[in-house]
Amino acid sequence: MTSNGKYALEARNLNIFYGNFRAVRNVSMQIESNKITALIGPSGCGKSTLLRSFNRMNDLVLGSRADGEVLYRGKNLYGKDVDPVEVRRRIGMVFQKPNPFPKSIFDNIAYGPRILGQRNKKILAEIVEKSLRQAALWDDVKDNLKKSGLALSGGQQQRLCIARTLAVEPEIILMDEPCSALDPIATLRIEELMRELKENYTIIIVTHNMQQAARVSDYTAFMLMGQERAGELIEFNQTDRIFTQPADSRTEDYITGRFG
Amino acid sequence: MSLPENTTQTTQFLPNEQQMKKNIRRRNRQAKFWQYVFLFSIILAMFSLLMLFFSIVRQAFTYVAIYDQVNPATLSDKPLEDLSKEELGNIIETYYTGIRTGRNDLRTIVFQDVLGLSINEQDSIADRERAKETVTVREIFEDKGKAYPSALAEQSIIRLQVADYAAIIEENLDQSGLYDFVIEKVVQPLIVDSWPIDQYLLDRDTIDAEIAEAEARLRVEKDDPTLEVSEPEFRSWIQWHLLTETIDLSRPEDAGLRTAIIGSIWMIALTILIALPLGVGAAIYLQEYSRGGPIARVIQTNIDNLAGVPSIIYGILGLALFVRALEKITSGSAFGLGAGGDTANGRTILSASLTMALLILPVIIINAQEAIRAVPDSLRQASYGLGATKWQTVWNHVLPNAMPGILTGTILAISRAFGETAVLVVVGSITRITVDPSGPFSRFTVLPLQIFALITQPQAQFRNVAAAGILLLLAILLSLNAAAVILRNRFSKRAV
Amino acid sequence: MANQQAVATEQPTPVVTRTAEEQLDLRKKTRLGETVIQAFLFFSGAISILTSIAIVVVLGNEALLFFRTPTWHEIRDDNEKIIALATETSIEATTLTLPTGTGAKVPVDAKIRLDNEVMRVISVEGDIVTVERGLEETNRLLHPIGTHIQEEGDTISPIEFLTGTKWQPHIGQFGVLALVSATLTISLLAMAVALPLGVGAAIYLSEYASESVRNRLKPILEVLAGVPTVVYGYFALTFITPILQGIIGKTNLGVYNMLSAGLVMGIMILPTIASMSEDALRAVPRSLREAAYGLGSTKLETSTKVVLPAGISGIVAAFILGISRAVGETMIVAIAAGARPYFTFNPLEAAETMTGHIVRISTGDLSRATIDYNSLFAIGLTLFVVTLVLNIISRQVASWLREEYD
Repeated sequence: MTSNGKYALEARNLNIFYGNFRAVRNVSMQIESNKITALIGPSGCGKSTLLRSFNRMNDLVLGSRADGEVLYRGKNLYGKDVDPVEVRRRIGMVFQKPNPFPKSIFDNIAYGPRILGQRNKKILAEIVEKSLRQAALWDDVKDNLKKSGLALSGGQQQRLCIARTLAVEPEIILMDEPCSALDPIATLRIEELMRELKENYTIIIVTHNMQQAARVSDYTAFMLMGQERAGELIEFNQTDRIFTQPADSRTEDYITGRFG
Repeated sequence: MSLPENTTQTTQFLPNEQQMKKNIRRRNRQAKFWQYVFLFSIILAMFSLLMLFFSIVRQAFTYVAIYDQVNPATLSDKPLEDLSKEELGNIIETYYTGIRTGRNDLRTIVFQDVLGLSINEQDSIADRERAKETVTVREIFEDKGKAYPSALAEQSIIRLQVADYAAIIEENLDQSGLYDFVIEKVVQPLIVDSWPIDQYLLDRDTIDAEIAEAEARLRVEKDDPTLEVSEPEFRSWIQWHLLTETIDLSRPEDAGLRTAIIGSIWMIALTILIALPLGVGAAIYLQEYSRGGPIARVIQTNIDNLAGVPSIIYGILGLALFVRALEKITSGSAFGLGAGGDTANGRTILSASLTMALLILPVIIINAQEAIRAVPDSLRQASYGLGATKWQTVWNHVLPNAMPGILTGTILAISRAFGETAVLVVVGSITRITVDPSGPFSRFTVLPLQIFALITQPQAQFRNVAAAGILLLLAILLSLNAAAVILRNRFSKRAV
Repeated sequence: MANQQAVATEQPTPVVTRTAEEQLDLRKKTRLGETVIQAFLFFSGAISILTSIAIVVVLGNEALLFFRTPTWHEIRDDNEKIIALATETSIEATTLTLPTGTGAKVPVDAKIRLDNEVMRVISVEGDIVTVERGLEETNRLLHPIGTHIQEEGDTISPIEFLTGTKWQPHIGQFGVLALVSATLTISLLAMAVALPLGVGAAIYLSEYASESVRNRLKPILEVLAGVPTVVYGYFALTFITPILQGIIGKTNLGVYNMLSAGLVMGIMILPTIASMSEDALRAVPRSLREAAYGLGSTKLETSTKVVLPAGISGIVAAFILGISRAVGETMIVAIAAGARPYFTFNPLEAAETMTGHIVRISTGDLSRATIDYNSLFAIGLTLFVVTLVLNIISRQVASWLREEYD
């Protein structure tokens, strides 16, 4: 999983448009490997849009367009001959609301390896077990792998979705407010999981919750809606720095709760 | 596709990078392929629609070959159009003398086409003659302002000879009129065969062969070696007489659809009269009076079920209930009405409309419910707040606001009723009927049923008439649907 | 909403003039007009229930008549030869002359039938049969030489009706499977066309097409759905059949055949399937698609491995409703499939469906009293039950989809 370079992902002068509307303006940042990077900021500041541009999920929105570069191991993800399908396999995603497929737990996790061409039942079973263990769900569900993924609790569903993402062995995992639909206990378990996962994966997480960012992330990027409602990157630094001595007064206002 | 390879092999579980690259190429190819398959499905659907219209248009505009039932060469040495009035008159006289019913035929032509007498006028002449009174040529012709040979003035108008009637016709037409008369009544050109326009353009050889074959066959049949079948000539089967003439199941070129069109209009009008109040009433009851109650639930389920019952079942219901059980009412005999001796046995417009109303009720109810549901609750509350009763609220506020939606649904239901055939096959309107329906208790036929009857005729040219009828039917349906769309758009614009 | 209703009837009439003598009156009033109107509205709603009851009662009742009416079959002599009149019987005559030596076969004091006229045998002397004519409201007819003599047979049991494979009314055979086989063959053919194309079109519309393309294509599908079925019948008979004959050969495929009717019926049902399936696919939440894409699925994999299985109950519902429409569809088969009630599943043959047979009975000159005519109701009842069950299943299946995502 570990990549050679220090940086797993690098955005250069990235602008994202929906039709004529510029949602993100001129973002440049470097995401370090095997670290957790948090994107924080008030609603509508473009942090989810930015996150989704890292694995080209924005392509699915009609009329969306990205200017600038997102470098993944030196290769621009928005380059002409890059296949978004391949990109998304390597850069996985976990969503705000748990979204297991209406299939069994086993099939949910085996889905990815199967489309990648893994047909061997024994290997699939091993992948399922390994992924569930990694997502700390194995003990809860090992006797009920045939049960529908929808029958699990919210927190378990989200861990199932994480396990599903792990099963295709991505290098980077994007998490779009993964805990916003969960109760505090489930949230803590996911956070714990993230800390374990960063051994092997680079994680970028969007969160509304500043405490969460402070708790789990190594780096934090603060975004804000700027001119013409376009999201801008205000400050990007180690999480400790952002939360103790922010360079920008707007960051300070936000983290001390003066707005947002 | 050209992302850098993972330098370290990450796992023993997934296929290696090389395989994965191949795999993704394959999957992308697959995705592309199936995208075309899905696109193909929808294109095929569109194409079917196109073919459907084409299959009808090609039969409505055809090339036809004609032969003259009476060879003009046997009538005169000269071409017919060069003949004088007298010569043409002689041809008419000779021809009608030669056929058994010639005198009656000519008399009918004089009465109907020359004098334009109504059935009643003709009957009164016959009655007076029966009463030994002489109805003179002078009386009738002067009454109608038509010319007649003076020698016939005092003779009985119904006791003239063939020659006299021929003379009257000659007196009233000019040369070209007489020529047309001779062509239509004596020469009687008949369509031997017809070919769709595309076949004419692409496959002349077959057509020529078929013409030659028909010619040979007819020559033997008619025992006339000089008989000729014409070269194919263009004919549009969409003609004015479709609207003005009644059905004629002996000559496709003269068959009109007037009776069926009038029947359709009667049937639809009566159906709306029955179904609209009931349908809207039911919708109001369900939405405003018993919303969510147990009765409403039962009715709702029931309506949903009825909407899926095949229309032919409604036909059987109508047959047993309206045509048979309620025959006294639907035939009009209970009210002393109805067609008298010309009884329709309950197979009347009323029966058909009642049946059709039951058929379209679910459609009207479901659409009206939706329209009523869309009326904002604030309106009702405002009305109640002013002390209005339930019905006042519904009548003054809910219904006017829901009206465009209700009308849209009704138009769609009508367009379904207009094209509906199976129900009426069973309820049994008569397809050979040539008398226009005159009221709810009349016998009748409708356009789609007439089309069905034409399709099942053995003579192929009736399919051309059917195609013309279908184009007419589709034009009506398309206008109805367009009206519904316009109504819906106007309504939704106002609502915004 | 019962309380809402109560509020409405308890509305006080507004006090317009407030004079000192006037007493405040808030008592409940009965408003005659409101009551009458509500009664009418209730009646309108009840019509649908009455219709359902009427369908069941009428079809059931008349079908019962069918099962109670005895069949007729020809009387045969010892050599299994059908006995027929030896001389013409005029309208007035009260005796029938039979071929030599066959009189003994005619039952005395029982009913016989010649053509549609029912008679009672009073006596038999040699080959001369004395009869009472014009029974059971049948008309006295002139019977030419060679008219078959029929005697009354058994009634048809519902079991025979439902399991018999021969539909030959003239020998008293009423096996509805002969008609069901054609209905089934044509319906399956129709579904073989409509299901893949309909689902394919639905996937394209819901997953691939842009909003503007979809908005343009859907009305065209609606036009296809609005074309009267008699027009589809015309299309099948005058266009598709000749094309098929060109491909398969005229010797293998007659003018009337199930193949053409089935294919065209598939085109007719296609819009229903496409539109219902599209609704089902569009009801699948976006988050599932995102999850699939997030795992590196192609559009095809997302559509077929995630969205399609998630919306499958809607598609199954569409499929069942499609079958129900196909089974009940009438004009296409009446025009293009032929009038041959034979038990066959060969699509190249002509065969008559249940609905086709009903049309033929209705348009024919059958008198009302005959069993052939009553068979119409037995077929109708069968058809009604089959389509009703299919419709109920379809709605049930569709509601599973709703429950899943509500």
